[in-house]
Amino acid sequence: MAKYILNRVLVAILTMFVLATATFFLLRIIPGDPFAGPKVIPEIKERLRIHYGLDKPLVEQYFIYMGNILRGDFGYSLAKRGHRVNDVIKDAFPQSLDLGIRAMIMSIIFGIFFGIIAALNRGKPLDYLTVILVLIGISVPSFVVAALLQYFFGVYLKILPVARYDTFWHTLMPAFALSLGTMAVLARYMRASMLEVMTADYIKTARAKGLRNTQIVIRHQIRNALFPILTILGPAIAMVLTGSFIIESIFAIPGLGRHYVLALQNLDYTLVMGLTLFFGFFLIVMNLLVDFTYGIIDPRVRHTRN
Amino acid sequence: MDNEKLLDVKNLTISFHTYVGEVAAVRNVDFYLKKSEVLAIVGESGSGKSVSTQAILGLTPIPPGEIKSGKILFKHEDLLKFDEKEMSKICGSQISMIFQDPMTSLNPTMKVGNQIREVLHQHTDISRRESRERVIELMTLVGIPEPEVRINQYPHELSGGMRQRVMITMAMANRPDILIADEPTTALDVTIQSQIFRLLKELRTEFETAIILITHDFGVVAGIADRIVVMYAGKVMEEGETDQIYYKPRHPYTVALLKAVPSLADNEEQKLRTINGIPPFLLNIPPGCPFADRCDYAMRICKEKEPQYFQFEDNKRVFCWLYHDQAAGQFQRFKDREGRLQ
Amino acid sequence: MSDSEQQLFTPLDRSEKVGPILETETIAFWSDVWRRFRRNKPALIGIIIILLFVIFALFGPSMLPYRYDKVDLSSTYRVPSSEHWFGTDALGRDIWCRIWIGARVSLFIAIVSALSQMIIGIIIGSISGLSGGKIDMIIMRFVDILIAIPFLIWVSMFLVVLGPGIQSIILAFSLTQWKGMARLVRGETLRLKETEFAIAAKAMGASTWRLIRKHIFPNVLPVVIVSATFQVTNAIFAEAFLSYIGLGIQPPMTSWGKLVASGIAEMRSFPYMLFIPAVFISFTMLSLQLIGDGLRDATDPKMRQ
Repeated sequence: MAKYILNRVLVAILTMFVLATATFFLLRIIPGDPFAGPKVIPEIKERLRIHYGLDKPLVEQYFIYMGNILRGDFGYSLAKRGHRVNDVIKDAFPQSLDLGIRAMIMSIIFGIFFGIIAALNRGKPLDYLTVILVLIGISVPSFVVAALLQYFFGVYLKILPVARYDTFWHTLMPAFALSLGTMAVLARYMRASMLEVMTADYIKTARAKGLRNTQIVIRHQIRNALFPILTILGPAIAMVLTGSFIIESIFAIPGLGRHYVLALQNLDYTLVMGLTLFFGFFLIVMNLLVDFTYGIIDPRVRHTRN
Repeated sequence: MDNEKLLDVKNLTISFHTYVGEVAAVRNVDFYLKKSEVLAIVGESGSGKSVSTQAILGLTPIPPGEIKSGKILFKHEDLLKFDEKEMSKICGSQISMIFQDPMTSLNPTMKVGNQIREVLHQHTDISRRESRERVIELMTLVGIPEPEVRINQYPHELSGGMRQRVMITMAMANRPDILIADEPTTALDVTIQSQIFRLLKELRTEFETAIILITHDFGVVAGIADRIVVMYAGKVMEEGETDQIYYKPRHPYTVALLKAVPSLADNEEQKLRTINGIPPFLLNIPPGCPFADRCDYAMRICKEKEPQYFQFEDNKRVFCWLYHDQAAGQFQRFKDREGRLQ
Repeated sequence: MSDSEQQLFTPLDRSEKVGPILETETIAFWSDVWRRFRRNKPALIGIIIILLFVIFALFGPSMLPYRYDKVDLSSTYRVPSSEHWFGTDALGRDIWCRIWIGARVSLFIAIVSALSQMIIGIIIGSISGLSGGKIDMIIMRFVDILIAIPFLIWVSMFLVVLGPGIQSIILAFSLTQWKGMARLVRGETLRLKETEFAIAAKAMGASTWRLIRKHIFPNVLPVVIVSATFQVTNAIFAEAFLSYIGLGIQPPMTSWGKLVASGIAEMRSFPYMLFIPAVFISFTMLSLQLIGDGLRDATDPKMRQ
C-alpha cells in the first residue's frame, strides 16, 4: 500500500515539474517579445524584468522561474496593472471552487440516481427516457445549455438572475449548467456498471440465500456498481473545471475560469501560463486524492497492494 | 429412512428464447430426491443439469427463459407456483445451493463473515451478537481454521478451497433439508476436491441433509452418491442406484462416460477415451434419440423416433431403444462388447 | 411383428449418421461488423444525419443566391423567411450560407485532427508497445503527463502561443489529443506481441515497420476508429469553445462555434441566431455519439455470439 502511494506521489511531482517547464518554454517561443508588447504597461516592465530575470541567460531564467514556482509565486500579470497572478487566484478561486463543488454534488447525486433507475428499469420507458436525456446531456454543448437557460429563466421568465454570483439564486443556473455534462457521463457509467453487476454470480448466490429483490439491489448491487465510478471521478473533476471557463463567462461570474478566458483574449501571456500552472497543479492533486480514496475504499485494492 | 419423496420433479420442460431461436434446454425431465439421500446428476455441459436444478430455487432467468411445463413438488407444494416472496422464504433456509466458482459467487467487497451472517439474519430472529458466534461455530464445523480472523476477511484473501467452504457454511447455516451442489469442485484442485466431498458427506450424516450433486465427472461420484441420474441434451438417459450404474450400466451413453474416466488400471500408453462427436445444438431438435449420431449401437429407429423409458424396478430406468423386444440382436451386440462392465 | 417394424431395428451404418449441422459461416470481420452495425437503429440514424450534413455542407451555400461573406447593411437581423431561409445576422449576411460554410470548417477541422491523432497515436502506441522496457516506460510517463492536463487547457495554451487560425487549431489539436489513442494502441500491441503471429513474423526477420503495418494496424483499427469518432466530438466542441473565446476562426471566415458565439451575444433580441447553429452542433455531436456507440458495440469481440 505504501509503495502504491509513493509511486503516485512521485508521478504527480514529476508531472507538475514537466508542466512548469513546458510553460516556461512556451512563454519563450511566443513570436516577438511578450514582455515588451503593447499590452505591457511601462511601469511594471521593471518589476517584470526583476521577477523573471529577463536580462539574464536562459538557463538562469529557468532556475529563477522554477524557484518562484516552488515558492508558490506564479508570476505577474502582463495586462492587469502589475497584479500578481497569486492575487488573481486569491480573489477568484473561492467563487470557482464554490461553483465547482455545487456542480459536482449535483452531478454525482443526480447522475448516480438516474443511472440506477435506468438500470433497474432496463428496456422499459424510464430507461429509454434516461438514455435519451443522457445523450442530450452529452451532445448539447454546455454553453448552449447555459445560454438557453439564461434566456429562458432569466430573460423570458425573469425569475432567476443572469449575472454575478451573490446569492443562492445566482448559483442555481450556473451550477446546473455546469453539472449537466458530468451528470450525463456519470449516469451512463452508473447504468452500465449496474447492468454488469446484475449478471454477476454473487447476485445469483444472494438470491439463493433467500434475499428479496430490493435487498439484493441495495446491499449488493449498488455498492459494487459504485466502485468503478470512482475511477472516473478524476476526469469528471477535470470536466467541471474546464466547463467553468465557459459558464463563468456566460454568467459573468468573477471566478478563475472567467479570468482565464479574459487572459486568453487579452493575450496576457504570463497570466495564462500562471493560471494554467495553477489549474494543472490543482487537477494533479485532485487526481491523487481520488486515487488514494479508491485505494482505501476498495478492499480488493487495499489488500493486494502488498 | 422413510420412503417418501422429499423433492419430486415431474415433467420439467424449460426453454430459452434467444435471438437465433428457441433453445430447448430441459425436456420432460423427471427425478426425485428422498430424505437424507445423495443424488448425483451427471452429464456433459449443455445437458440441462444446471438449468433443471436452478429451476428448483427459482433462479431461472425468466426472460429469456420460460418454464413450459412441469411440477416441482417439495413438501407437497409445487415450487413453480410460488411467487418471489414465498420462494425467498425457502431459499437459504429449507433448500440451499452452492455454485461452481466460489470466487465469483461471493461478493468481493463484503467480508465473508457478513455474507454468512446475512443468510442467518434473513431467516431467523437471531441477534447480531449471536449471529457472530454462530458463524464462528459453523466455520469451525466446516473446517475453516482461525474463524475469528477469517470472519473479517474478504473473499480474495482466502484460498479456493476455503472460499468453497465459506459457500458451504452459508448454505448449511440454517440446516436446510436439501443442499444442491452445482459442480462444487470443478474450479478447485484435485486434492481440495476430495476434502470438499468428505466434508459434504460429513454434513449429510451430521444434519441429515439430502444432497443433489451436479457434475460432469463420473470419477468423483462413486464415493458419495446413493443414486445417479444421467442427463444428455436436456433429457434423462438413465437412472439408477450407484452400484448398478457403475457395474451394470444400461445406456450406451452411460457406458461411454464411464469408459472416459481414466483408470489407475490403464497403462501409460492408453489414450484418453473420448466420445466421438459433439452434443447436438438444442435449437432445432432433430427427431429421434439425441445420442443417435454418437452411439455405436444406433438403429434406424433411433433416428426416427424418440425412445421410450424402460423401467426396471422402481428406481431404475433407461431411455433407449435397445431395451425394446425387437432390438434383441443389437442389444446382444451391446452386451457382448461392453460385457466387461456388466 | 411386421417387416417394416423389424426394419426399424436394424443397425445404422456410419453414412446414415449425420453429424450436427455446424454453422460454419466464415464471415469476414468487416462485413460482420457492418451487419451488426446495421441492426443498430440509432447508429444508422446518426450516419444518415451526418451524411445529410456533409451533402448540405457541400451544396448548401449554392442553394441560395448569396455569399456567406456578403455584407448587406440594408437587411440586417432578418428573421428566417423564404428569402433567407435561416435569416441574416448583424451585418446582413445570409445565415443559411454561413451555416454550411461553417459546417465545412468545423467538420474539416474535426476530421483532419482526428485523422492526424490516429496516425500519431498508432505510431507512438505501437512503438511504445513493441519496444517494451525503458522506451515504453518513458513514453507512457510522457503520456500520463499529457493526460493530467485537460485537452482544452493544452489547446488554449498552444493557441495563445501560435496565434489563431485554422492551421494553428489543427496543429494544436493534433499535437495534444493523440494520447488516448496511443494508450489504446499500446495495449493492443502488448496483447498482440504475445501471439504466435508476431513471434513468427519477428523470427522471420520482419522489420518493425512491417510488423506495424501488417499485424498491429489491422487489429488495432476497430478500437482506433471508435476512439477517433469520439475525438471528432471533442474537436467540434473545442473549436466551438475557442471561437467563443475569440481564439478560433477569424472573420470573415466562420464556423459553427463562431455562429453560436455571436448567437449568444444576440440571444436576447434575436434568439434564432443562437438556436439554429446550436441545433446543428447538437445534432452533429449526437449523431457522432450514436455512431461511436454503434461502432463500439459492433466491433466488441465479447458481443459476438
